[in-house]
Amino acid sequence: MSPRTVVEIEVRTDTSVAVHRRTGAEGPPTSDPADTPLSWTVVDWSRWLADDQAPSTMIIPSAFPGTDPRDAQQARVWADSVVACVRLLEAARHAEIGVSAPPVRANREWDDARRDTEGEITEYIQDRLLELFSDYGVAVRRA
Amino acid sequence: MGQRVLVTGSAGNVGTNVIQQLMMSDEVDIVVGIDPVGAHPLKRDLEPLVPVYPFDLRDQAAVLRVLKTDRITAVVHLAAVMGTWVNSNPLLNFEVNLGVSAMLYEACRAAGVHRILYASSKALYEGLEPVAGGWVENVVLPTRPYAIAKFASESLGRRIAEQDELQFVGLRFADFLGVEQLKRPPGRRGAAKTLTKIVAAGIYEQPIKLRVGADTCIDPMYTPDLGRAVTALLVKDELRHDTYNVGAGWPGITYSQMVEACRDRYGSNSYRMVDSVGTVYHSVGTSANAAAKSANRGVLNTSRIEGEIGERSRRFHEFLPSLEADIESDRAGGLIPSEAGEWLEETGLLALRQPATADE
Repeated sequence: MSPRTVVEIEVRTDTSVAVHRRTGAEGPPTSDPADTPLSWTVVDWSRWLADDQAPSTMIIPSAFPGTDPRDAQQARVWADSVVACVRLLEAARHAEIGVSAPPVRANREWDDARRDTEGEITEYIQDRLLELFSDYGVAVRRA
Repeated sequence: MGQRVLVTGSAGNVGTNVIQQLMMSDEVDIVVGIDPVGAHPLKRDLEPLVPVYPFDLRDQAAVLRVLKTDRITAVVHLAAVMGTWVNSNPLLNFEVNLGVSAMLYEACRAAGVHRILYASSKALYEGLEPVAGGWVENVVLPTRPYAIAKFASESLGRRIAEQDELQFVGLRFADFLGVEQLKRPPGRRGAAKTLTKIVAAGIYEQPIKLRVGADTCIDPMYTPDLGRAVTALLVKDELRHDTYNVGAGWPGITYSQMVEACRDRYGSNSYRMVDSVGTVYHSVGTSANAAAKSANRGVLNTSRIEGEIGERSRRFHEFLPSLEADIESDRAGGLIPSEAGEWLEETGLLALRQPATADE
């Protein structure tokens, strides 16, 4: 049985994606050998997973790309970015692939004041999404 | 110069009422709608009144074209996918309930729209206790997909507005009743809500079994009143808040009290209340409010509208005769599908044709 791979998804601020792959948990990360330019907001993760050697785990970033919805030009990107995260989690759910994400906060008690900044709102939403997909059966790990 | 208004989701229960009320306002010059649904009975009612563009809101170029061509100054954004099924379709939920909103906001900015009224959701109050006599502020902890998307969409709109001349207002509607809910085709999602069925059952002399907690307290609003409230918020020069609860006001009314009012008016044979607080409601839906309702909590505590527009929305006892007249009139005019009575018993929520016996 071939060792399962872990892929780590890096989403850059311009929403481009680099996929770093390693065999097992300990191998050094490498850039995606296919070096296919991916865009976080449009990539079809279901197809990508079908074409790829199905990894056992996808590591996703702690938050969505560093877009700021307060910037008019970025509002759409931010929303698309949230949708992209849902798309990835849906793909993982159907492919039965685990998802690992950095812990959002040690203290998971959110309140309104802490959601004043955009990063906090983004984190909050991702936190809720991970919890939601965990309920749907996706193995979610906060590493 | 009056407002030039675009209403998304115009053929919905709320949308049709908002449009009708906007049409009656002296401060509104034109109203147009966007709704992609086809031969929908509510849409047919609307089309003689206003142009309803049939395209999908995801077509941003088309939306921008309408905003610019019709020189729209204000948008009432009601379009959404909703219902308990949405919570098991998270991708569609986020694509529409967040993605479409973002596209629309962007288009509004590009077209110089100065006010957006956005139908957020009372689902954002999930789990909150009512605060009698006070206002629920923006303390929200949504966990279900629909509520998360609404929260994200509301947050996005508010933050865009902070940076621009655009004014963004989130609306959180109470439960509502209206004759239009009886006009939807049988079997369609979003068909008549239980509240309207309670009244319709009396008029249709249809036995009705309510599988919700008798002591569940809600804040029901008559849909024309809801349309008036939205219109008032749309035309008012200055608004004090960026979110509004749109309801008749606290204290609300329990299902038992609604049934009692209808029993007094229509006779006793149609109603039997099955008290099942905290059990059956969970089995029929996963609405974000189900837990709060079954725990006998109010969802909206009061309306901010009252203080803002100087008029109070009618309570259930006050608008019941008007709703009854609407139903009777549209029924006589053949505007309510003849199978409505049959459909009442098909819903599963309302199951008994014969008056219940003591052991049922």
